[in-house]
Amino acid sequence: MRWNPLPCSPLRDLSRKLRTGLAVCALASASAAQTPQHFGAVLPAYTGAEHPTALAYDDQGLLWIADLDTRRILAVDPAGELQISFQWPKQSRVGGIAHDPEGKLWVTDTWNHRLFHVDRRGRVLFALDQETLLHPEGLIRRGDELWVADTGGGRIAVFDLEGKFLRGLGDQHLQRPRGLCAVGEQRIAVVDAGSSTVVVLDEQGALVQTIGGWGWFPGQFSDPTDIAFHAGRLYVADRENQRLQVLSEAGEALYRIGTHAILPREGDGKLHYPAHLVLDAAGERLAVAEPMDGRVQFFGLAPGEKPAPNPRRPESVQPSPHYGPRWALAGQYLAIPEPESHRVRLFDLRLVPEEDPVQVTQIGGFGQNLGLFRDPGSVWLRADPLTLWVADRGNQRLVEVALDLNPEAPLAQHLRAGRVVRSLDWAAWNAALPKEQRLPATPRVEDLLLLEDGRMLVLCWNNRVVLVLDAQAQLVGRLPGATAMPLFAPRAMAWYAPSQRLALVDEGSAAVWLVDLAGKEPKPFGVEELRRPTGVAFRPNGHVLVVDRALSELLEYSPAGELLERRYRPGLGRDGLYGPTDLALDTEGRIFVLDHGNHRGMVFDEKGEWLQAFGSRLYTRPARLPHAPMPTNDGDAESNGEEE
Amino acid sequence: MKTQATNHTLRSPWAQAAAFALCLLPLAPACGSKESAPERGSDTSSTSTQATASLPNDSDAWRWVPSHTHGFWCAWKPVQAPLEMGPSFPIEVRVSAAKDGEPLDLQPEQIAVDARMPDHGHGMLQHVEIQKLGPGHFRVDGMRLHMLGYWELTVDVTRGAWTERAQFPIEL
Repeated sequence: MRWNPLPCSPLRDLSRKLRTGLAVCALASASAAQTPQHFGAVLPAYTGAEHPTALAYDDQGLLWIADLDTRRILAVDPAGELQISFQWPKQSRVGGIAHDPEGKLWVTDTWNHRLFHVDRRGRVLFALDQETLLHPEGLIRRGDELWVADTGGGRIAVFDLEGKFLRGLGDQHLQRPRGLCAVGEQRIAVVDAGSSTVVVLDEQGALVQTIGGWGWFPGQFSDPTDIAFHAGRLYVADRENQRLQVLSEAGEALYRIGTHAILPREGDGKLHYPAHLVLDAAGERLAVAEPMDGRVQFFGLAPGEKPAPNPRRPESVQPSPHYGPRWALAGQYLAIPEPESHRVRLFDLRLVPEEDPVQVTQIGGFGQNLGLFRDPGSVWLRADPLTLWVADRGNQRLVEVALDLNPEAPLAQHLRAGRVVRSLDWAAWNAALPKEQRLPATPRVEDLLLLEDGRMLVLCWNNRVVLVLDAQAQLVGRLPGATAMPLFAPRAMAWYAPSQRLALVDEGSAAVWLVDLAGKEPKPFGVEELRRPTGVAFRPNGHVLVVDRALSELLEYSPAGELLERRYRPGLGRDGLYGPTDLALDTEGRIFVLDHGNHRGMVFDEKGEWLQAFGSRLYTRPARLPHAPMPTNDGDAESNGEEE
Repeated sequence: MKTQATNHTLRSPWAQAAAFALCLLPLAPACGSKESAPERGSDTSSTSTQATASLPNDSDAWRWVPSHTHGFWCAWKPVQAPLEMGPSFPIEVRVSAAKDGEPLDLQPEQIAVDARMPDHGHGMLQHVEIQKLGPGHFRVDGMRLHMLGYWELTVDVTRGAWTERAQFPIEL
């Protein structure tokens, strides 16, 4: 069942129809007048995919969509009618689709590090082994070659049509390439999420041009994830800036498409983490996938060189940032990375639940110098002495920060409290390992935790292992090692000291593994009911709490793996979550859920009853005041969609 | 050794602009500024940052602190004193295994020097260049403190996969 917390009022419905009509008129007018054109017409969206992760147009005008949550690849016609649908394996995430002239598809499998050639019914014609690619995503066909964005390997991998690896390109210029497109016959443009740039390479992989850099002004990017080229223009999915950018071939910013969605699943030209885009062959229709909102939006051509500004939705509007995707709690402090600003904010929880957590300091900001971060994806907090560890994914290092705060002092901001103590460079660390222990690629850290004896567990998403390090970062063990614990997309860990067991969440296999550090007797559970688990924590009694991003639920399991309870549902109210990504328990057993999609944190008591919501006022209001009308961005009010 | 911002002169346009900004400082709380620097409270542990923040006025005086991990000792001094807000200036940095101990024979690429204003969330506006003068002894060109207030000068030393930091407070 699809969830839409914002029911269509008659006025909103009429407005939508008028806009659609105007778009069609605009398209006809533009075509007739041969005027300069831009993608300014909002066309009806496709909502039949729950988590679209890749798009491709074929020669017949069908749009192919990979849907992670329903494990399907489907094709829809321009009218939005489903034409083809076939199942895709559960433990697989399609990262890119390319159509070939023979009518078949090339598909990258991000979680399994593989490349498939399939026919239009989904029958696998060919599969490349797992040795060459690490988390491949976007791909294109160029003549008799396939060019693949080898995201985890930080390069472009080129194959022939029989799957033979030919060469790797661009590893000197790319960190985390996620999408690519051909620019004429001689060049390719690659979006590099690691450096927030568009990197233009020639056929030999030599750098031609670098466009952009991190930021939010025109021509800058924040986590760009896909790119297309048509008629001298580059189209970039500027994911964390919640927009598409259109650039000239030389890299000049021309205009933007879409403004930031404010309300959940708002659509109608407002974008929420646009991750993938593709143009049809004629260059008249632009499809944009928004995985978080379960939607593909379409833009058509409109007269004029660029869209007219919308005074009711200024382009500079920046709602409160999302939290996460991870956070860490220790003592009375909660550390929250903020993906938009690349800062880590530290909150004091002593007033919860009567009052909001109070931000007492912040660390970082975007940059390469030590003390700055690029994508501080995961954090760990130790209470005594108060110390923060930050997995700085973009800079590929682990940063230890001492926090000079007194938990008993009166509440106040201490902006000088964070002191960078030291950092560990993962590339140098890996290179220094004996050859037989060396990892295939520089570790990209997804989660970390510190044990009471000083050992650190580091979860690497690209190598799909858990590293066990001593206090000096010497490698003393790894999981899964030789154990029978296949990991596809490991996301999070939790440690239960009384039984010395590790809970390991694998989004790919939709399971939670319980295992000791020797890797003995790994036991999976939750396979039947979980869809995309991303966060895990232990209760003091050893029960395992899991948040599932696709279900927007909290599930509780016994230590034996028996499902005990399912709580919450998609929504904004007191029992509502939207794409939760992590959770943590404080010393009183209160449950802090990182409600990522709703820009907020939710606090529940040990029985699961709602206590508090903190974060964006817009998004916490439906929980704080469940019967109050919810203000919209257009200034009117309508129901928040919760049952009262 | 003099301390605090009385050391700087007002000859340069930068300094004059800063003096004007200082006049506006009392208005900042009324404007809702969150950037006013809170005093470091009594809640701090014993760290190098507790040393008296000072503006060096003596180019002969080295000020030594241990790194946060006590993995090395570090000292710095300006090549010329007093420092001014605005213009670029050079400093010298020494790194040793212990205070007054053997210098660490490092290469310039193993040293990183930076300065930031934690109260304002920004750093310098330009990069520095580091030149080796001798074992454990470096000259750093291109330092530039473009704003009055509390700065933290950091010296990072990389050995193998680890980088450790020493930190000096500066009140400009």
